[in-house]
Amino acid sequence: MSIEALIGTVELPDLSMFLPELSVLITAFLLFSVELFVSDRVKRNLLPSITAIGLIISLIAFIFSGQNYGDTFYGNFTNDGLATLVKAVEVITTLLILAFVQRYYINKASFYGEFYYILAFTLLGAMLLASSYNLIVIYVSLELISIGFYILTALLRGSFISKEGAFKYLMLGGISIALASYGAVFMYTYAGSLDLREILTYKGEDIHYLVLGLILFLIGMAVKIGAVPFHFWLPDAYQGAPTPITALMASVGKLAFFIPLLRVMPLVEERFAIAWTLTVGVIAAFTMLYGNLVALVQRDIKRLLAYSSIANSGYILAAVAVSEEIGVKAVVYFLIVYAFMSAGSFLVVALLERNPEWENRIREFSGLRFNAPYLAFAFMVYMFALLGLPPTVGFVGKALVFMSLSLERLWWLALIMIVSTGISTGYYVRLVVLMYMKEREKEVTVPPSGRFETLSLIILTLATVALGVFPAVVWGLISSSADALFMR
Amino acid sequence: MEYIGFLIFFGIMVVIALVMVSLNYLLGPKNPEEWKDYPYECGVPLYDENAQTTFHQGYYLLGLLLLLFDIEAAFLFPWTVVYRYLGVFGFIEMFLFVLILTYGLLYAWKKGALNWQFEMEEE
Repeated sequence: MSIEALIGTVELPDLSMFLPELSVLITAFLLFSVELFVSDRVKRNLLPSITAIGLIISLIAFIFSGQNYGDTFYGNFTNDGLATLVKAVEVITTLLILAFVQRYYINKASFYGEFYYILAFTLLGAMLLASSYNLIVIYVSLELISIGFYILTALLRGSFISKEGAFKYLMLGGISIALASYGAVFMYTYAGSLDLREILTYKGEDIHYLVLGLILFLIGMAVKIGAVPFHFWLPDAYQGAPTPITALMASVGKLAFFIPLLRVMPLVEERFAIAWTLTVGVIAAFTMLYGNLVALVQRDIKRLLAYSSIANSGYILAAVAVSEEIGVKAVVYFLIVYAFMSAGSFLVVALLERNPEWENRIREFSGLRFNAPYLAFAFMVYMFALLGLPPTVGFVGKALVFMSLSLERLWWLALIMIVSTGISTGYYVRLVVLMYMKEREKEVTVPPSGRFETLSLIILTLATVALGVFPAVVWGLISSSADALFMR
Repeated sequence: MEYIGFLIFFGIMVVIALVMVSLNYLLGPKNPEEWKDYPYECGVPLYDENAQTTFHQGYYLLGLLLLLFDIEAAFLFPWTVVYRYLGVFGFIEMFLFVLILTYGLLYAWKKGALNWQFEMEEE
């Protein structure tokens, strides 16, 4: 092929699909320049404002990108209903978490200007991961998110457990990337293509290459989402990280890491459906049981919420095992609402941590209703949502997972899910009992929260209830995007 | 049996390597000296006998910067070859690429990775 012919295939990307990512990217570079060249005093207020404005612009850009679905960048970037929905939730959650960041860091005497652009790059990675079928792009965006998380976990001055958590995350994250790319190699060997759509619909003879590749890819992703037995990094990283970052990892991170699995689901065919269901189902069963059982004996609130996060990954994975439309819908709904409730519960802890005497012990929650009535109420709502009580989103999410499991007649998995939800009552309700039915053990004065923090918590709490009472608000979007995935 | 040649080749390779090493061991002159076990230090006097202390971070940072410009060069060469076919599009793409790399250099510069003086200040 001559050079002219090769150049002839160069095409200009359709940037209108890429606008939300583009605005986050430009924000990140702007933050980078400001961080380098502006004095420390100005930076403290300038950096958070630029980040917030950039994210809001990115949210507005969804109006334009949401009207124009299709592939661009030579098919490496896919803009569809699912991508738009997931990315919008990611940006909104990041914005809500951002409200807590600055005061938290100044309170901990650990303000780093680098924080803001690393946050923006991490968000960019999460957004790219949400809209790609290409294995290489998945790899790059996975690394972008993970490296961001490693650094953000370690960014707490003078804290040993923060460094320990970051190092464990780095090691396990490296293993997961190695496994996932090894899986990608087998998939490429099978189909000779890097596009997941082409790989999974390819009718080759050596189906075992594909199954091996998929299972390795799945295990690589399982490390990232913290599924048992690949979860060892998760409690340490969640405990060690600055609490707003823990909220980010548990919401945006989890949401993003599930998307490649979600994109594989509609493409699972009869030939390897059994392998997919069994692998995912067994991992899900172990994850649910182990996460909930170990959470029962935790004494640290952040570790408890981390194990609860593992257990919730298990519920979502159980729905991933059902590669039908209802399964996809259950996964998307559960992921979105889990982002809100986990972010909310960690952010309440972040507010409590502002008190210098607070040590994150569970016992300190006793009688919290006297000291911080509003925070205690918000925390109760999140606990009930994570447990899955009816007026909240948790109930609808679990009901959807159960429905999809019963549709596929995976009764054993449904049974394990119910048993583990029963176990989880033990620790969620205990926290509520401590807060509302015990006398206070010690005086905990909670400093008043700022305007944006209050607003953010109100939005999260309202969303946790409202999306459960009126699931139809997001259900239309979820249904249409899931249908679009199955149309191909 | 198609690949039997490779197997034979592999065998010969292993035998030659073993013979070379063992001949050296059997026939070579031996005058052991303590200094021979020390790590080679590029001609400068040895300041660290066992090479197991931590290196100064500056070396790693310099290595990373070297990587930065290596990659830049590796991408610039093929680009120059096809530049006249690419036109403005190619120019903008490469401009963005070099801009991002420049940002890397600026970051390193601003954060003091190129400032090696502080080593002496510590002492």
